Amino acid sequence: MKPEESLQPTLQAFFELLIVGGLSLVTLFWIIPSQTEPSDNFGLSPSMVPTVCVVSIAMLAILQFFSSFLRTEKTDKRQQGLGIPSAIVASTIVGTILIDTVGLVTGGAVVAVLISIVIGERRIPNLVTIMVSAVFLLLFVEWSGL
Amino acid sequence: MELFLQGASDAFTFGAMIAVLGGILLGYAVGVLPGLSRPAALAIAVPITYSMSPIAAIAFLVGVTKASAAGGATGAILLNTPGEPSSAATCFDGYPLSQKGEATRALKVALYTSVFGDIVATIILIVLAAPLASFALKMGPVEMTCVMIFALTFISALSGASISRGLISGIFGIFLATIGLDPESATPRLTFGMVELFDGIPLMAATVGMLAFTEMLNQAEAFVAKDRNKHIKSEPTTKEKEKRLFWKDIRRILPTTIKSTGIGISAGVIPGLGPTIGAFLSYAIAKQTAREGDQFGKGDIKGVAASEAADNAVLPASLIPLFAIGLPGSVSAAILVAAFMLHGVVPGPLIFVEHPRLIYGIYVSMIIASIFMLIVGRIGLNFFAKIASVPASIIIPFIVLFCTVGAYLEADTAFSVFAMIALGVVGFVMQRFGYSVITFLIGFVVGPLFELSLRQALIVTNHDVTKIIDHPIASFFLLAALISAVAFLKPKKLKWKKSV
Repeated sequence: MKPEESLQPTLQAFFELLIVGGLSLVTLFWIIPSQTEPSDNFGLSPSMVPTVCVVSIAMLAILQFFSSFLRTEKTDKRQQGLGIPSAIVASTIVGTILIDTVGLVTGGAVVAVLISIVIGERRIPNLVTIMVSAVFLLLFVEWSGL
Repeated sequence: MELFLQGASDAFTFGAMIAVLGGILLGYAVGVLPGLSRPAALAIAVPITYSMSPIAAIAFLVGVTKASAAGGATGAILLNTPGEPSSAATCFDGYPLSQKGEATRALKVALYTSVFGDIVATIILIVLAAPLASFALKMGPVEMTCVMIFALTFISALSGASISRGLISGIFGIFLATIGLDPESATPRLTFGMVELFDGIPLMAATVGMLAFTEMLNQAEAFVAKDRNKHIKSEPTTKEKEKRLFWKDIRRILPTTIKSTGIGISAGVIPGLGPTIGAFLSYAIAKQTAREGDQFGKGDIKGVAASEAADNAVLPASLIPLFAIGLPGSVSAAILVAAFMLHGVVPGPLIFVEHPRLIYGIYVSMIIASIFMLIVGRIGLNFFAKIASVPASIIIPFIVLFCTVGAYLEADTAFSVFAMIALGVVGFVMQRFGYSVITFLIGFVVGPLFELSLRQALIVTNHDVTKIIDHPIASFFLLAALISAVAFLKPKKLKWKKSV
């Protein structure tokens, strides 16, 4: 086994612990106390179930970290970027803002066309076809009341 | 018998039959399109029934509900985009089957098992309504909590190689489900002052975001990287052998279908569980009890049969407590209560005394709806299967569009879409690190009911856990959960030892 192959899962586990554990601590000591109010009612405090969940997640993250030393785990070596997913998210956000401000049909059609462009479609006839299809589909949704 | 015949004659009138068929067609359309949920469609369909007779109105709504449950599998199998949250479990094996070129087989299994589960549950409703309803009446919060624990135990069964990651995903789902108004004190909890979060994160946004949107992010990345063969379904199979269902296939899925129908009926009878939990639980049990050679998660028709039979068995079963004690067992049943009231009928024990002819008419209409569902589903099967031949360059933009519009239509606000996008991104990151989004969803769905039942149970038992012994049904489910957990851990343990 090459050194970098054995190191990678451990490093990943460490970063995983750092992210999951760190987020759990932030949630436990800052978000939950600031976002829940104590209740005088008989029963459980509103913060109890969220707190139990976060503590359990933190403990399981530690368990996961230590178990990564014992287990040989095959990791996906394929390097994947974040460019395309980020562009799709951005396009959907733009379309959603348009749906909310201009209308369902316009915003929806923009979403479909932008996503097509993001995944590499550059042929104008195809883009027009996608836009027209999206418009008709959304007009049907509006008309039918669904 | 005379009343039954009178009810049957009402159900066989032209108006009632057309109403059932119309409901089936509308339901299929709603089910196939992702993002358009069954309860939403049912709520919209209620005003359409104003001018109908009570039997036609209820038959129409039953048709919508039944067919949307069956139609939801189509998107799950062909596009990994469930038309309904309850069809999400069908994705696990339906979509891999589609990727292997066996989409038609998967669709056939989904249709036949849906109809089977539906008809059996309807017969159970007709025959055992009163006794089973009396059983459901005995389910208090302590019992419900234990049933939930039993259901939650199976979260691990759906996780990947790491149990701890699976549990983290499930607990994270429960955590996000606590966002909103506190069920007891009604004070805002983890809402960051946003009024939109008072009702919690919308279920549809979570389901669509975590499953469909995340999948589209992955598929788009793979598509651009030209890794099309692995990730993008392009053509359905042309081999007749892979389209047909053989006797050996039916024999293989029959025990799972029967078992899952029973689970679906139980999920329907127990108020609040509903089709989503029923389908996920059924799938988990089927996976848990898998035999050698079964390939759950990699494209096994047994997986499709498990979730679909249970999903479709829920609605008829949820009418048992509705008819017997006026308590709806699911969201769909709750909307049906409104429809009943609209037509001057109050669901409850007295319905058998005051409207026996209507009840029998509804029973017969439900059987007719099942038959129509089979016919419409079978005729439309090849048409739906052709969706798989649409290139990814078309599928991806339109699925993202469906996700966006579906989330938007749930509340007519951009908030639902942003919630869907945020959860999609969370799902994408979780998948990158090997965390199961499906396990997350199970936790998210079960979360609110679990918390409510837990709070009530603690009050009932005066915060004394040992008092659970006084509740035999609760003890039974707790023991079953324990046995299930031990049985589930066993193969994982062996696997771990091997790897070490």
